[in-house]
Amino acid sequence: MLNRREFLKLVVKGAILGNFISLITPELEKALAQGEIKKKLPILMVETGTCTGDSISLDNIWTPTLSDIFTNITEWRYDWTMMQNQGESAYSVLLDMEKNLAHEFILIVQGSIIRRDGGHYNYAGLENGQLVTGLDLVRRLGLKAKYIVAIGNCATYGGPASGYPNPSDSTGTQTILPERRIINVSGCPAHPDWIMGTLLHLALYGEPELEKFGRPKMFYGETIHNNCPRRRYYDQGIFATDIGQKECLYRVGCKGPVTYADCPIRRWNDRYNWPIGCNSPCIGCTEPGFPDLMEPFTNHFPDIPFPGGSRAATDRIGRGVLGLTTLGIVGHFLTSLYKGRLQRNLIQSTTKGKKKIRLKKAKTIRNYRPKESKP
Amino acid sequence: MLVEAHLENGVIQDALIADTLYRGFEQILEGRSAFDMPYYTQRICGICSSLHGVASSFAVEQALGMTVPPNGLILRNLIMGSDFLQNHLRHFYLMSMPDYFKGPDIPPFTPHLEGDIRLTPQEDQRLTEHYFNSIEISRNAHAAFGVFGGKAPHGHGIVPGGCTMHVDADKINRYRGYLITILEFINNVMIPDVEFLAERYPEYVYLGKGNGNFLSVGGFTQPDGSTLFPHGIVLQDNHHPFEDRFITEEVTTAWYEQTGPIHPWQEKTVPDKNQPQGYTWIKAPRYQGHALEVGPLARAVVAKEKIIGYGAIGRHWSRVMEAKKIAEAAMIWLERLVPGAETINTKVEQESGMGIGYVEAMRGSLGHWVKITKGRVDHYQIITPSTWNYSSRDEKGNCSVGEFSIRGLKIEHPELKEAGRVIRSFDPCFSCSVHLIDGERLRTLNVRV
Repeated sequence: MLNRREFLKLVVKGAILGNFISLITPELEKALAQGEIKKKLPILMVETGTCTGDSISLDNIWTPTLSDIFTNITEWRYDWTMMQNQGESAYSVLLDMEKNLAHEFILIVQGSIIRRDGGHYNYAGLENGQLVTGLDLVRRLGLKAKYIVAIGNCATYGGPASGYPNPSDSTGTQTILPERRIINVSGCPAHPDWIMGTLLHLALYGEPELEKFGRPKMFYGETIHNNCPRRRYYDQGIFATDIGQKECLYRVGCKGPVTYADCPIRRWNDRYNWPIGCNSPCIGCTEPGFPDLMEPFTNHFPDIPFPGGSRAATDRIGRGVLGLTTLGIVGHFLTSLYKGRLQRNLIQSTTKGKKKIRLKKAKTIRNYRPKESKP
Repeated sequence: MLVEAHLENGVIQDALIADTLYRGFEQILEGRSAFDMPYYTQRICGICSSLHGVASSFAVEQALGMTVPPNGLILRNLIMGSDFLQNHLRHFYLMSMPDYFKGPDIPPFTPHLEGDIRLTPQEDQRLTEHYFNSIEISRNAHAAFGVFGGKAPHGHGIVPGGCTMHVDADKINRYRGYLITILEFINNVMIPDVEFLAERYPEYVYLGKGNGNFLSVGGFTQPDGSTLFPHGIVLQDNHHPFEDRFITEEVTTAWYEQTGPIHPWQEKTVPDKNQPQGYTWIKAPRYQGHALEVGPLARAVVAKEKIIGYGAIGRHWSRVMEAKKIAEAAMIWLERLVPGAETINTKVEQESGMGIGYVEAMRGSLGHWVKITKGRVDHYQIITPSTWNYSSRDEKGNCSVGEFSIRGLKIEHPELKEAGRVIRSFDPCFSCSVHLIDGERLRTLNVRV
């Protein structure tokens, strides 16, 4: 027999996943009346310095459908693109959630946090005749939310809006909410499965395991390069000489080796294609430091300095060294990536040829390490 | 987006439409590699990403003297076409339809925006079903984008020189499959729906008229040099050819450092929030001093095609008909693809140069102006469709089509619902220049300028 507590836990899962409610109505009604469970996941989405690409990406979700998400999985309460209402009466939904659902709702942040001029380069609401900046709104709601999910590279790490010279002084959500733990679902845009998978994990099992930049390990656990279907070309040293060719795109700027995401196995839209699948290099859009540290997108990495001082050009690695050794070297290269060695090298050869700018950018990356939430 | 409306006896006397987000892409792009432009500029907008990619590719190609193989041009049209269909479907059902029907009692429909719903419960139920169906159909459009563009939004397939994807029967087959589903939906559901709305809300076919000036810069260049959308200007029923030199942009009432009316080649984007007359981030593009309307309706007017009205539902009707036109054209483009033939040519004639990229995006005319020196961008200016439709006031005090269209509107319902309907009929872009503030916030206020 289940005890009452276990039963209720099951009910919550059932309610979120489907139509469990109708089977056990009396017990559920009692629980609902006593306020022990919430029927669906209340969602509040704030859009700051965004292109709305992540909303559009979420609309593209294949399973479950967006209709299912709206009707059965979540209560998509505040999202200014999807709402029917407008003006004050729409904004009152947000205020109501802040007041009555404190520490119960999930805050989704979409778009970079704009800090220039105290945040006045971006307004995200109008309250009692006063414009509310995106910066203030995210901070205010962030302190009241149960979980905070930042979606898209802008909301997580500043993204394209924070590209040099960063005219809007954009940054990621973790920087302005150091007292909270932010779950970063990065990507430009984030894959809808990453967004929905994270939300569902939060609803059913709480916080997912995060990697060192606050991204759920289940989606961002491995590099593109590790799972790439063109990996065999890399291992054999067969490289494309220009974009639009079917070989390994490493030498025309692919950032797969430094980019953590599961695009190669998940793929996009109807799971048919993905950036490298269309013969165009990965541009590293899930990483902190994108886009400055990943540019130029179509120029290849510097030759990698290997431990022990030997400087091996990538095509020689493949051609000359046996597969096993290659794997060893690549493995080492991957693990040492964020320890700085490659970062420094990347910095020397990417954007704008100004070393200091890129160094400065690379230094901001440590802001995005996940923090512990303080009560 | 922030709308300030000045009401007198329930009638809008004047209105200011403001955008409240500045990201500064034009500044960010300077100094970067010219070949990165299609990737980077797509990030300006998540809804019309491919169009920014194509416009910047055109500009870079013109600057560096590159030629695109015919297959590459058709592939681009197919990518843009599917993105158009995605936008038109989503805009009509997800953004506009909620103004005219009640919908189910779940968020994000609740709290409902009450008042002036002229549908029976059965009809409401039917439109609700179509709303949810459209979600499943519109993702097919982005899946079709993905076939040739890698992923959507922010596809990787469009680069200066053509498209990176190669063509084979499998991909054509797949794209066609998605397209047929969409075309069927447009014919069987979307067109009857827009005609049904026009019948139930007849005055909205005419309510919310623009100022009678329209622009189309021409779109969907085909290998023989022709375009699916012709280019041209209509000034109060007089048709003129479109010329780039007549375009000026000014920032008299926007939060930028003052320049006076100048052509995008001379323009610099320097934000200045303390600008005394400023009320928005949107600049004011003008053509020979005229504010112009852009979008599906404008394209239909320029092409001398059938229209049912110049008002809110008139715009929706043109948008739906355009979706049909593009879906049918895409069928023909698919047949013209040559499997195995080259789709990209990255040969560059020169390292420096100037180029202009014009395309018709979903919401209207989009222009990119680029100067390149030794492979790096020196100067980048963009005029997006919503910049035309929602521009700030110019030095003569002329207002944009968006502000003009809600003047004289009689407001009878809460939250100025009527004005919301008209403003949304332009398909305001969420990010390239306009950003909605909580749906649309409308308030009574005395208006400056």
